[in-house]
Amino acid sequence: MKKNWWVHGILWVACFMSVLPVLRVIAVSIRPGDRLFTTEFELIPKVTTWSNYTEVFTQTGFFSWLGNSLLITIMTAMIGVILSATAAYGISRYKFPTRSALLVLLMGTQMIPVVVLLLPLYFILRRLNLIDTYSGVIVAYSVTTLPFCIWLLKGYFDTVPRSLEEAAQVDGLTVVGSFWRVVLPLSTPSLAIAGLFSITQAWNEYIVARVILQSSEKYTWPLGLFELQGDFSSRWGLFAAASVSVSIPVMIVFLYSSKWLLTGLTVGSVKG
Amino acid sequence: MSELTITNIVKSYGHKNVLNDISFQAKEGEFLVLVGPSGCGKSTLLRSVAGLETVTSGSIRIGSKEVIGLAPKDRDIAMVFQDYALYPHKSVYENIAFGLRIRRMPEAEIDRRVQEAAGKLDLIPFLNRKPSALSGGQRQRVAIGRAIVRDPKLFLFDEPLSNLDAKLRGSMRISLAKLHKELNATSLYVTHDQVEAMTLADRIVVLDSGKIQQIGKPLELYYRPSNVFVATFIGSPGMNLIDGRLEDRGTQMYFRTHKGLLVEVPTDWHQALRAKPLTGKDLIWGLRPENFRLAQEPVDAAEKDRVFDATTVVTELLGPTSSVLVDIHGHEIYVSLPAPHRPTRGTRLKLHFKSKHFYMFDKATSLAVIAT
Repeated sequence: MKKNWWVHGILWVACFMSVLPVLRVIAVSIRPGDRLFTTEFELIPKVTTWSNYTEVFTQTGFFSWLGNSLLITIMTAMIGVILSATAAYGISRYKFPTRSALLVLLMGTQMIPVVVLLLPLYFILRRLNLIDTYSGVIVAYSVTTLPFCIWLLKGYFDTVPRSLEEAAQVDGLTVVGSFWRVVLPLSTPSLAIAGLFSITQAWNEYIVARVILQSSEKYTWPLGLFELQGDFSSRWGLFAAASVSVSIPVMIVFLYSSKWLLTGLTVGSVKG
Repeated sequence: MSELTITNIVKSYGHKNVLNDISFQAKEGEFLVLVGPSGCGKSTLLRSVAGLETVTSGSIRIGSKEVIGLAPKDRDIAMVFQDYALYPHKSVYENIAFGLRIRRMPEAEIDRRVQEAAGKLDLIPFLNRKPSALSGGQRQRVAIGRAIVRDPKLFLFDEPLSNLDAKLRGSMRISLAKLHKELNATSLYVTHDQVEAMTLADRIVVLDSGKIQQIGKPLELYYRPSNVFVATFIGSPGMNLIDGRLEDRGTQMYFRTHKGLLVEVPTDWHQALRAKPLTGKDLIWGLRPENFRLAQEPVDAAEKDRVFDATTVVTELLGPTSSVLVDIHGHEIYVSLPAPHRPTRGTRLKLHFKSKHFYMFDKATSLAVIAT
């Protein structure tokens, strides 16, 4: 019991520390403009207003940013999951000469900070005429999330017994068919994790988008938010209201996908 | 149903041949068992027939159709895997129906076949369960159901009982035998367990180191092993082997072991042995443990050359019989004695060896020198 008390204490502190900034942002977003810089530590302001939200929704390009972000994020996640699942399956199931070198190389790319890749990425995309296009951002995001997703899914596919696919092939499926109808349905937890990883990466990314996207109507929400910081004054109320608004879709995705994150789906398929 | 014809199958990894010129045929409706120790290539052979492995050369025909180069789905086979390989995300019903759905069979026909297979295997109460909610034996029955529902040309079994406990294995063995009687389907069955092979098989193919050692009916292998490997592999406990040479003394013939024990060879075998140049050759004499019994006292004069003084080393109680390791003139030999006899360590016994079947092998080639 005593040990439990300690554990719970630590968890409460950790929880409080991570939730506090979020609460502050929410608090700031519903304060009237004249109380923005108050030094009082109040989580629920005495006077509240929705004016920041209405202004964000009506006076800025918020919905355009949101739409751009949604498009880019969904495409990134889809392309990322499809490519990483097929690549991971190949690496997991087939032995070919460069297999282990490829895996190390993939891991190696994760060690390079994205800032270092910016310049080469820019040149490549310019050569491909993809600067200032959604496709450019989608390509850039997909390739940067792929290595992690491939590793993740390869690790999972390794645990799916090969005899399941063999049984499916004897039952009448092709190799691709057994991957599609037997392996993938069993892999929903790890596919969901790979998808969520791609979504969060793409949704929150700022610096790559900053370099690739140039016209403001193609801005994703992080770029749009940055627009709210003027040269002489920053409109923190709007900033906070927009921040809160954009976090809602991500939270919905997380809550919805949590049911796919159940593990142990393969229990009982083969003798353990 | 069709016959299976395997001709000159070779599979090699680099210079190592895991399957070495394998040829045999399973007749229509025959239950053929591939048996051998771990690593003998039996599973590789089965998987080659299924199309899950490629072979280096040779031919595999199911019916009149050459299947080398065909995908597993195009070979019209069904396979039961050692680890069951049930689809964990599907119910028992859907597991059994899966192969039929892929073949786009009408729903009513699927249902009829699934119900029929489930009925045969006592799986009706479990049709809506997921495999994870079943016991090992039930899972294995689902795996068998998935195979029989398809009505394929050939059934392949890859050690299907080896993950079950001993009692369940016994009852599943009986069920499989009954099922085979009912379906009369050409089957190729892989096992390392010679008891399974003996009880289930119409014929057995004994494999070792990628080579066929002998093909025959279960009792043929037991009574007429063609080499030392088959002699020791079939039968439990295995055959005792003693090195020595033949001595021909005209009216009598003796086997002198390398430790100097002199044993008279039954007169029935003299002619057959004399027909070959065996004197002076290094030979191996095989004695089945079950051919020993306690000698009647006093020992009959005619039998005295086949009665041995033995000292008990270890006794293993098996219930109806005891497996006793004894020392006969420096040779350690297993004998099986019926239950009342449970000699303790050091007990002196008089053992009478009597057998209709005489096993003698050439030490150089390991081959049987006379077929009895």
